[in-house]
Amino acid sequence: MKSYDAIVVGAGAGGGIVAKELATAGLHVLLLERGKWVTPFDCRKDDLANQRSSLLSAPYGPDEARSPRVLVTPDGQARTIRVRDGGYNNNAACVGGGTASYGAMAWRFMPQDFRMRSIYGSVEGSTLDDWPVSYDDLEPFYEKAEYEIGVSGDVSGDPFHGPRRKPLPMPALPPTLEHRTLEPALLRMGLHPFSIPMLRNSVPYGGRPPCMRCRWCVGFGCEVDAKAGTQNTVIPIAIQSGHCELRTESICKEITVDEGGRATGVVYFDERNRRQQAQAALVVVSAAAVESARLLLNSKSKLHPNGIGNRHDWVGRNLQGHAYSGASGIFAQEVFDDVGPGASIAICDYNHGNPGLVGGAALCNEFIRLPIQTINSMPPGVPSWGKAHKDFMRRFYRHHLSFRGPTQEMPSFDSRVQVDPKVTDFWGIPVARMSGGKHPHTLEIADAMCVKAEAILKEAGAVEVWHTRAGRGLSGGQHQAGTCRMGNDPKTSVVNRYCQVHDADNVFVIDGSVHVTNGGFNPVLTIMAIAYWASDYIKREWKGTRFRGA
Amino acid sequence: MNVPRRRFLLSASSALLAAGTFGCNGFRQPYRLFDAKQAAILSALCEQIIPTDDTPGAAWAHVVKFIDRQLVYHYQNLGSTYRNGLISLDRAAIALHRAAFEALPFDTQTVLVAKLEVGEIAAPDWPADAQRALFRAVRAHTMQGYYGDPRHGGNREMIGWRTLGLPHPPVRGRDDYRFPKERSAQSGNIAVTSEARP
Repeated sequence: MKSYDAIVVGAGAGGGIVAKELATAGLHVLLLERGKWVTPFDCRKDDLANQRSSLLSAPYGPDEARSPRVLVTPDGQARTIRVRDGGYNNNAACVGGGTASYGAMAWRFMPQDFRMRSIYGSVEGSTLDDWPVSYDDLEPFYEKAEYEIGVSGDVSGDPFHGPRRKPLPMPALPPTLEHRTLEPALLRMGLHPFSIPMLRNSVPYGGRPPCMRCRWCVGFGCEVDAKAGTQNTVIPIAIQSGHCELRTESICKEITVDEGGRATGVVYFDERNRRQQAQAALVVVSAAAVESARLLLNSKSKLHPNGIGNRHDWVGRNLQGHAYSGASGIFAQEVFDDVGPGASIAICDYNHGNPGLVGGAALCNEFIRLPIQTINSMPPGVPSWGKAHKDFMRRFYRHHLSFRGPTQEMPSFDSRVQVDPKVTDFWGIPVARMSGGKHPHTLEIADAMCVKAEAILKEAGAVEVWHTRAGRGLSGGQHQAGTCRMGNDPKTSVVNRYCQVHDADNVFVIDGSVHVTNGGFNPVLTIMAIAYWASDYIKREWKGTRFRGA
Repeated sequence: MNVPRRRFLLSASSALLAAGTFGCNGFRQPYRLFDAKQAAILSALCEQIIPTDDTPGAAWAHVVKFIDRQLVYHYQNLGSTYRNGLISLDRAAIALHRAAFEALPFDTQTVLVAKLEVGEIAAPDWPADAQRALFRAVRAHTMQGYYGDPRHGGNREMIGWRTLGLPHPPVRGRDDYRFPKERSAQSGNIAVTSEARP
């Protein structure tokens, strides 16, 4: 059996950074990834098979035939679902994880997002709470993520962001036509538009070229590597350090523990489906909210009969993503200029301070929508087929834009991940079983965001505006978070403020799972900041050959 | 009108067999799964979803070829939805209008498809949810075959993109986009940019 200092499960936004931080600090790291190392040349620019529209297949993983999940619908029916189905809540399985194909918005959460309970009080039926870390704790690590991975943008026009010591390392890309259409209207309304921060090179940075402004961005790997993910930044550094062994197509079955309840390593299946065991002084789970919870729940032992960290039944709880909502509008003039990535302008005026609402959302113009992604985004009353639909597509495609945002969700204890008692995957491991839905207040906030966006589009001159409302169903998907909540009280959380599992001090969960609330923003930069923050703690506590918990 | 299920399956399979034999005799068999009759019904149905007007519709764009190909690869689970659905639709057309579906006037077809969408075609052996399932599949796949990537068999000469005024090549600054073989053999180059936008 091979022995390592640390095993990191999952090479995504969180795991990639942890692997690099620990490997460059001299720890011997095994980085396990269940997907492949996919390059943009393996997954061509295919509008029917990409991470955003996985109609024919999901090229960024996981393997469809081998990785089912179970979804419980609101009426209590459990059904086995495929990766391609919407309810799967897929977040890619490849080196880089979601960061290989994401849209790459690089938001810092606002200081208020870490103190939701203190600011708004309790919300009935929700487990809304404060984070045990503050924006100020994370600020240096946000900055580290922005500089190491590489963020472009210009937030100087946004008076609502938290204090920052340094500006973003790269300027914003020139504004798109949608940006130029919306900006004057937003300014007239007294709002505060600015260029969205993105993990995308606008100038050469980190040895990678700038964005070529192509149409194929969100949902696709970047052909010129202008889009920064962990697969083209920190993971290569980790490997080059000589201390990190990356194993792809390796599916982690469980975390093994000793008689004292501390982790001793993991059992996994390698790329040829052989059962392997590896030993380590510490185990870091970075498999994203659904799979991290599944791995902890599947790691049952005498001292952890319900799974590691699950003494008080909090693992898998509070699954949340975002309730995307806003408005779409049709303009008399063309607003589509085919300049990628499309998304360019945002406002944070409605993230907080909405009367009667707990939080809100950043509102942004959408990424470029390919034709196949437009067929269902028609205003109410337009037929879904026939000549009228075809006509509308032709008139509408270059004349429409969408202004929407990720509404911060009210965490719900009953929106959860369990392991299914019957269904197993190809390797015989019980699969994730997801159930629950959105909290009613989340939908109220989302509807309020529709109204805000509608007013903005009308001011910008849209001739017809309609709401794009959030669905009621469980949300996870690429923004999945919350299932291994961070907290000071072991009775109401899974990990402490350093992402260390309360009842197994050499197991860490470092990904979106630890988010107490998920902000009104795309969560990736926060996941990265948390990864730097927790890695920093691990490095400080590392005692040469083994790990001692605080 | 009540054809027993066994006889129906038998006739359907012998039709498939006949089509297969046809292929072996050297005739070009263009489809993997559909016989000529099924393809004709489906083609008419897809034309209803995206009709021909001043620009070509679904039939010209090879949407049937797209669907046929996907039923073998990515949509294997929908094979029977299509085969049974198409035959049921044709039988309903004959029962209601005394003509094969594809031979009906366009507007008569439109009325039938509108009923298919909500599962209200009066046919004894054809449950409403099966009708709706056929419509959902045809609608979604026609859109994919027309507006989706040509490499999957549809969107002939990128007609779906050109009708929307999307410029070529699809990747800015790149000229090496993979065109369908027949097209590059004909023209050897990207000629579509010179055409007027519809």
